[in-house]
Amino acid sequence: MAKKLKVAIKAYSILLTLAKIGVIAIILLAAYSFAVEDVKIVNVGKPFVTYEGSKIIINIPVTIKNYGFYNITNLKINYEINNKTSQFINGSSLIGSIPTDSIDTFDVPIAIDFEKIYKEEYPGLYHFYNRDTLYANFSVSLKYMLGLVDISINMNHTFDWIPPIESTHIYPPEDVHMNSSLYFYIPYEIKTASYLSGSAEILGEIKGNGEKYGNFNTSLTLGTFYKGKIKVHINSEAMHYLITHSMPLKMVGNISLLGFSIPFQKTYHWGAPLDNLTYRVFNNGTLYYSFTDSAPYPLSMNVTKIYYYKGSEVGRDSSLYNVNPGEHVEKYEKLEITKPIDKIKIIFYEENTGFRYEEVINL
Amino acid sequence: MSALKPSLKAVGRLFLLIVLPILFVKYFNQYFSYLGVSLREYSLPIILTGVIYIAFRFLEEYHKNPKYKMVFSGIALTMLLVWTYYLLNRGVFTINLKSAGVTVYYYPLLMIFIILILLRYPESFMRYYLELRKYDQRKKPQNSGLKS
Repeated sequence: MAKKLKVAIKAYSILLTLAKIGVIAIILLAAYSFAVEDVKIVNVGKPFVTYEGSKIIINIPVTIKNYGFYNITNLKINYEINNKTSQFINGSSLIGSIPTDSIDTFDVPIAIDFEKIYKEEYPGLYHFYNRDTLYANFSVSLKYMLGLVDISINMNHTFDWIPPIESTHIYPPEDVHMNSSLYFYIPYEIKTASYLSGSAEILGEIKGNGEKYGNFNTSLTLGTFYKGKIKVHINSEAMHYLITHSMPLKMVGNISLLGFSIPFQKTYHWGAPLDNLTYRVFNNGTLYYSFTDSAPYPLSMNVTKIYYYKGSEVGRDSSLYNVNPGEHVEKYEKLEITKPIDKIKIIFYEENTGFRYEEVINL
Repeated sequence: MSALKPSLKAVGRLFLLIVLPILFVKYFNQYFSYLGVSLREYSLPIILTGVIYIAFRFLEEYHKNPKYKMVFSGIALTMLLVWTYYLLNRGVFTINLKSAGVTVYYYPLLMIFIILILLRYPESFMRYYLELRKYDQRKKPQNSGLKS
């Protein structure tokens, strides 16, 4: 009996020792794989951008070599990106497994959901227009050594947030034209983030003194520094008022980008060509008028005076002169007519732009 | 004279089970920012459980009576179990490198180690049970000789 028990103890001891050796061997093989760099990150490639609805996905290609003794399983990436005050983006991605004796390249996707940012930040949309410093925490987790060990690698990284609309600038209106309506072009520059592509639409209204004066639309190429001109149409009701009144005008509109309407507002100074126009007919038969060319372009003025008596035209005369930008014009013109008149129509016509402005003076 | 061998073994164990792990952690702390625990926090349970283990293993080896040996061995194994739990830092180790923090969770592995230690209880029990039987048999003739 004692002998049998002795043999049993011996056998038990041997089995236990073998189990210990087995466990230690498993650990040593794993340690060896890391020590001789059989398991390592070979390369982190250049990120590339893909789109998925309202999401921009920045893919970072990562190549991992696994020549070790065990499969890498449950490879997962978690990321949390914050700015100074709040959480900005977070997400996770399950990469999968890398079997032993293989080199695998996979893309680590970091999804920026603009819909979420849009909803959270509307109407300010700070991150659509402004740069920010972001603090990213990346966590790579994986199982190794027959799933007995979980490894989690945490990395912190600070980077600059580049907004979709990096900068915008508008210049004074140019190419003012007028035939049946008044229209002009506003040169603009817009720099959109390089991760964008395709085109965007800009639509909006021109407002001044709280009233709508006109509208505009244009399209632009995304992902680059774009220079263009916005064609602005002024309503016929506002047309005459704007010829004689300088004022700040607001461009209130939306940029359609990534499926969203991003509101924007820009103010520019409208310089009227016949700014502050005043006129008067003196008793001695002299017409007085004055105005300032507040427009950024010179004027080739053709001022025609048409004289009426009882509804019929009885005569006309005209004068031609040039006005430089910023120049103040004050004219005293003798009414060159001997017949009786009861009404004068003054037509200010600018030959370059084609704008025409009429005033009627009843005597 | 009989205490020399257990004493030498105890010194060896002191070096292996207490001094070496603490020196290792101290070395690690110098090269990496920390292991998830401070040296003091890590060392204290190792010293406590290690010293108790060494003491009971000494008593186990020093004592003649297998009954006491069995008891001391049981206590020593329990201490070894606790010592292992703390030595392996409760199944988690964190190494902070310059650019990244690496956390290794090996709780299943720790459990395997603990199971392997638990499996030493029956081995120890059986061994000392056998010795106890021999010890009792040896004692019986001595007692009967004394009676006659």
